[in-house]
Amino acid sequence: MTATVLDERLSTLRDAAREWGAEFRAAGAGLDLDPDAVGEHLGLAGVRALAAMLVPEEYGGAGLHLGAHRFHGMTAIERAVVLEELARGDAGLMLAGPGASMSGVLVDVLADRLQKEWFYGRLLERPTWTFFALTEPDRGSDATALETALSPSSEGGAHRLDGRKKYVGNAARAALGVVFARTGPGPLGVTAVLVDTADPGFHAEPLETLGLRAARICELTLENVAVPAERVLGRDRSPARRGMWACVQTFNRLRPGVAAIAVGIAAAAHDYVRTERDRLGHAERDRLDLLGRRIDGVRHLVQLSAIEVDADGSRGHLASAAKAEACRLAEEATLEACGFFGPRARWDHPVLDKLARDARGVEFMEGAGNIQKLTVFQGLVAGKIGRGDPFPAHGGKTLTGGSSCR
Amino acid sequence: MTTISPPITATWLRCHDTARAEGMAPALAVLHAALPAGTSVFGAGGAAVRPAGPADRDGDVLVVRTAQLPGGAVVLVRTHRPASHPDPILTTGSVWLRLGLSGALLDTGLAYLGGRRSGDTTLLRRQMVQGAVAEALTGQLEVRAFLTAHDPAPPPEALSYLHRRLTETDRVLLRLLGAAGFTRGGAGEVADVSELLAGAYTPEAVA
Repeated sequence: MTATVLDERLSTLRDAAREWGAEFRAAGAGLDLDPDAVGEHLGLAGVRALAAMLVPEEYGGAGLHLGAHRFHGMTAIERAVVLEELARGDAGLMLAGPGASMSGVLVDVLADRLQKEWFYGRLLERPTWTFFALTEPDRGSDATALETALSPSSEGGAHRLDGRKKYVGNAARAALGVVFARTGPGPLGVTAVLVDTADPGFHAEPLETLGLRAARICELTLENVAVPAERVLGRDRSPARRGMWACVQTFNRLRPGVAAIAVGIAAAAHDYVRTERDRLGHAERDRLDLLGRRIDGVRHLVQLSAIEVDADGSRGHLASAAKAEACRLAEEATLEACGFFGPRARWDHPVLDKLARDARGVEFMEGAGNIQKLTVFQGLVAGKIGRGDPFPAHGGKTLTGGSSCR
Repeated sequence: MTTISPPITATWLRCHDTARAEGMAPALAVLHAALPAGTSVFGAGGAAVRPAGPADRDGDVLVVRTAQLPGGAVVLVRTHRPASHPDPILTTGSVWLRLGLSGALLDTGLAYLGGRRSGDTTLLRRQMVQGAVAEALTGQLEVRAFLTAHDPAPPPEALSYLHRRLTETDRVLLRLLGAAGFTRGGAGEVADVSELLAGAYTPEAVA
């Protein structure tokens, strides 16, 4: 049995998610060719699990029942466990499923009761996709530099939202989501709003991407979109507790999940070599074993970073390290796997070809590797990482959670 | 052979912390003190790294190198005594020790880079340098995560990987030190001896 930082409860979740992920493999290949066919896969256990995650019990979420355990996906460690295994099946389909997804983390951090009732209520009506719009064409995912504007209405009614967003997954099939916008200059001028995609002025156009095609990554145009005051997230808080603070808290909690997806892609490449390449020579076995060790090591780091961020949402430097390393691993592992099948591996093995393309898609997700490294460095010089026990929450055995991540 | 049990974790941490704060020789002393009486400090290939001392003059021990390192001198020694599997305290402990040394190398690197001018700023303010520092720290965190997940001891077949990861990490930091990491007696030599320490205690079958 492979060592793990997971307890029995989380191991149960991992084992179930591994079975769900196995079903994703065949479906994912088809979606790579026809992303709009995602609706045909809503009955898969993994897709239903994703839809059940990030909806708290107090808002009607049924959660996942596995033996004596119940999961709502409210903690970063639960999400990391599930996302890795589903991405190990197919990262594209994993990202293409309906559910609260990334928006759900922000809503959990920042929304008030009425906003949560609206958001979760919509999700519980039917399989509903959401989107999370931060990145802008000219500004990337630097929240401090965004330009999309949220302006008060001249008549005193709803706010107006104007701007462009890019690289937003599922936006063209989503019914609702969150948009980051600016109400004024500086970090206190950053805010986030809930948006109904049926509202006039909202337009999402899918982009043709190299990988993760099932996720239908889109460009958004927001032209005078009406945003009622009650859809402004954190409206009951001071600007200091809703703008960049909320961004940081949210991204810290999202980062282990993105890292876990990358680990899942790497593990899928490793799995493929193990199952499809027979008669490995001694040196090849050593190479494959080495890759397996590296995947194990990064997985441990990712899961421990999730446990730490669950214990303290401001402790995200570890997750930055994990994310940067996991994404590099995904690229290296998929290329390494190709090396076991010769120079035409990607021509002859569609699975490897897809994995190599998908791996590139996680590198920039939620901040590119070089940006994550700068965050790690800042944490080091600030004394928040690199000294003492890097995993105090795990050492204190406060890992498993199960309630809201706040 | 010693069986590793959970209380040994305190020894690992002491070994790690001593290596980072005081240096290789004191950390080796901590590690060797944890061995059952009479246990050989030699690895399977008959190689060992130990604090310099009277035992260097044992008749069947050949000192192949003496390194004057921060914290005290260490000797690299070989013996022709029949090889045996090194004690697991040595094999796992050497990973923790090297992780502590790698942390000390990071500390040294930060001090060096913070004081070294480059144009109108310091090397430490260069983003490429910051990225490399982060990469090295991440390598250390990955090794620590592996050891944490496999507490109290990783499987023998994983030791080679962990040592290799530490060597890669140290090399990233050494490149930041430039020629300052190439002189004897300093951080560069600690890293060099650390690599040789890995070679001494990595189990032969998986080396």
